[in-house]
Amino acid sequence: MLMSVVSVYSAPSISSNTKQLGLESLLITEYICVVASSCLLKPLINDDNSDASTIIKNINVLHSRRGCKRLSAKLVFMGSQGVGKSSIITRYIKGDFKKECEATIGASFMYAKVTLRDYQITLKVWDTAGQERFRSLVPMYYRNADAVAIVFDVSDRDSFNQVKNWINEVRKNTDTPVVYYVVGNKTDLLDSRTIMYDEGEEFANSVNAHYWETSVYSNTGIQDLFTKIGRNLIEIVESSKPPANLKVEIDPEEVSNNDRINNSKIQCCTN
Amino acid sequence: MVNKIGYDMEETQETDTTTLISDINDIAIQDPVVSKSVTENEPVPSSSEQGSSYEILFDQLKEKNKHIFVLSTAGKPIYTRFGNENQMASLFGLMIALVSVTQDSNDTLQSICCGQTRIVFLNKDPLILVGVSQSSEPYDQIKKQLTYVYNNIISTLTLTQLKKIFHNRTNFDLRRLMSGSERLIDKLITFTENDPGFLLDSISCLQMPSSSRDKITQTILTQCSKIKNLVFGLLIAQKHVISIVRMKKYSLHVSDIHLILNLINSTESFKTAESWTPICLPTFDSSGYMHAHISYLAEDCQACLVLLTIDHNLFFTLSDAKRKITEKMRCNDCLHAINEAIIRQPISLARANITGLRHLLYKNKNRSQHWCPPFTSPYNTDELQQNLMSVYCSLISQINFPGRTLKVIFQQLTAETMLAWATEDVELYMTFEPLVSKECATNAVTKLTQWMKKEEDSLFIFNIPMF
Ligand SMILES: Nc1nc2c(ncn2[C@@H]2O[C@H](COP(=O)(O)OP(=O)(O)OP(=O)(O)O)[C@@H](O)[C@H]2O)c(=O)[nH]1
Ligand SMILES: [Mg+2]
Repeated sequence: MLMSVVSVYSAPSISSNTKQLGLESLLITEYICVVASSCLLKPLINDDNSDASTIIKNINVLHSRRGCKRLSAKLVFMGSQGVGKSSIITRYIKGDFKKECEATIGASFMYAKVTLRDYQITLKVWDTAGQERFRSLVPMYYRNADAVAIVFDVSDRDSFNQVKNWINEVRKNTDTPVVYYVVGNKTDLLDSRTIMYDEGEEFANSVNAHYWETSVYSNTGIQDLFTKIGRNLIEIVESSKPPANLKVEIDPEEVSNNDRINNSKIQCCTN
Repeated sequence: MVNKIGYDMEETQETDTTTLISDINDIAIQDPVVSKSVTENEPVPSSSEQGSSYEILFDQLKEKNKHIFVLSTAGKPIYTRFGNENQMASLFGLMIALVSVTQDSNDTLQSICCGQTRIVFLNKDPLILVGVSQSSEPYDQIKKQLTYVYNNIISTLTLTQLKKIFHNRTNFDLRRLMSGSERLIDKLITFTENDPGFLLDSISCLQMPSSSRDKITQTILTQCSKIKNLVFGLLIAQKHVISIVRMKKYSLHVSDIHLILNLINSTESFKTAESWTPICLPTFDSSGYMHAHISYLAEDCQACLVLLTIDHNLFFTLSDAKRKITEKMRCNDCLHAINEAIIRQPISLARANITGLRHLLYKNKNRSQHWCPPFTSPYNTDELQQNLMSVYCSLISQINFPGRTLKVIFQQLTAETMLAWATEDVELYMTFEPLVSKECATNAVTKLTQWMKKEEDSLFIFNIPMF
């Protein structure tokens, strides 16, 4: 991993970029520490999409961690069986993709971190099961959700048709503002794709939801999905009437020296 | 009373489960809205084409030793172990015909034998389960396997739910609700074919010093006893149980533990995240769901903690309790003890130093726990082990034959000599070299019993505390 960082830095466009910021040497050392220690950035590095500028942005965010704002929110993934909910989440958190994965039983729970501007967002992610027998249990998971991502498979119209029911159901049963995302997954399946971008977006607009497309297989859109959700959550908390359930905690602590020491230790281990 | 783990004599066993029934009992079947539309009537192929395709199908089925089919009383296919149930319409039709013909004369069809093949029927309205075995397994054994499969279906749907579904629509296609759990049934059938725990109605414990086990149990108990509505806690390592805690008055049935073990051992994704899932324990209470918090203790300690509650709002409480349990266990060296126990070579029978003894199964009847030492030479291949298991299977079913009190069986077979020995507290099945005498075998029982006295502390769980 360190190798890949080094090679990124040797690219001319980037060094000019960093020079502009006047932070070059500091950034490199700090970035390497962070990369070595934090799985937070892992998906970024693996992401084919991630160009140098997004990496730079992230460094800036981490760099300004002192006095950062903490936000914690509940994000629930829903959608038909086999559309790729678990795959999307695993791709984001662990950075890998398995062709063979089991259907989720009940629901599983994970934390996902998003760092944006001066915010550290912790998403409490619920990955619900799409199987019909778990249908009646889903309300238990989306209660008090701050954001829901309803996923469908762009090659499966049935799964697309279900999205509307999910949205209606969540709308009916929640009273706080919720960020809605309609996510078309498996865009790599070009040949069997039946729901095109326009149709998906048009539908999402009609139900007041955001639209986004992903492919876990070719690793596109995953990182951005979480970042976008994070951005929308920030918009909500910064709006004139932020809801009671979303609270920002301002963290007065600077990045402690201990942290740095730990980071460098971990860096040694990975070498 | 038998087969309950953690049963205390002084307790009244009238499990008043009515208070424990979870409030989420309804699987809303909101047809056509959310469910994928499944065509209720598959196109029937024309009769000539049917003839040849069935021949191919039956040829394929004949290659397999053991089949299990599940269908609804209306004849709808639900599950088949091998092949595709959609192509078996006439086979399922035949099964229904056989069952209903006997029913018409106020009788129940239990089993059909022809040559080596035995067909067993289990009628559990609204389901019919059929087992076909070509290896002359005892009837009880096949019936028990069918019961396990039935229980697995109940554990995903609850009996109340199942009845309601078929009451409302006799022609319902249950596969819609079962999708994804076929995998669990497949694994469960394999478990029933290979695991001595299934034959003996018992569980196997992870071998560890009793002092370590007590410390682990105590750590779990301290956290769990504070939580209202938590009913059971289990710590599991692969196929073995490490520790169990439970709410006063309630105990876990062996067959329910087997279902939990099967669920955990067949689901890799439990290793990557905390799971919160409804599960019905059919023997404990077939009418409602419990909620299971399932998670592995730590990345560096692959033991799985299962916390069962009746309160569906308890996730974060349990998640917190689990975190504390792991922290505490890390501090007091329990994680280390578990890891040691997992990697340690299981205790070998050679240590007992009994001449001529090759292998055994030892069941502590009061605890419903067994010990099966690792297979050693000459049982080096799967096939030889499988053969030995079927010898055990037949002995076990003879010893436990209802209405008969058989205490000792001595059998000299071509490849080995077998001795089955049953007392009030213990069932013992021993495998000796072929020419071992009766006297020699009985002496071995005494010797082994003495040796077990020293070892059993680490092989069985004696302390199953309540809160
Ligand atoms: N081609 C392709 N396959 C994908 C993609 N994402 C997921 N899959 C596959 O789709 C299948 C189902 O993925 P899961 O992540 O288990 O789906 P799920 O939505 O979590 O399913 P349930 O847990 O049953 O609700 C798996 O075999 C994945 O490998 C993708 O972007 N492209
Ligand atoms: Mg899933």
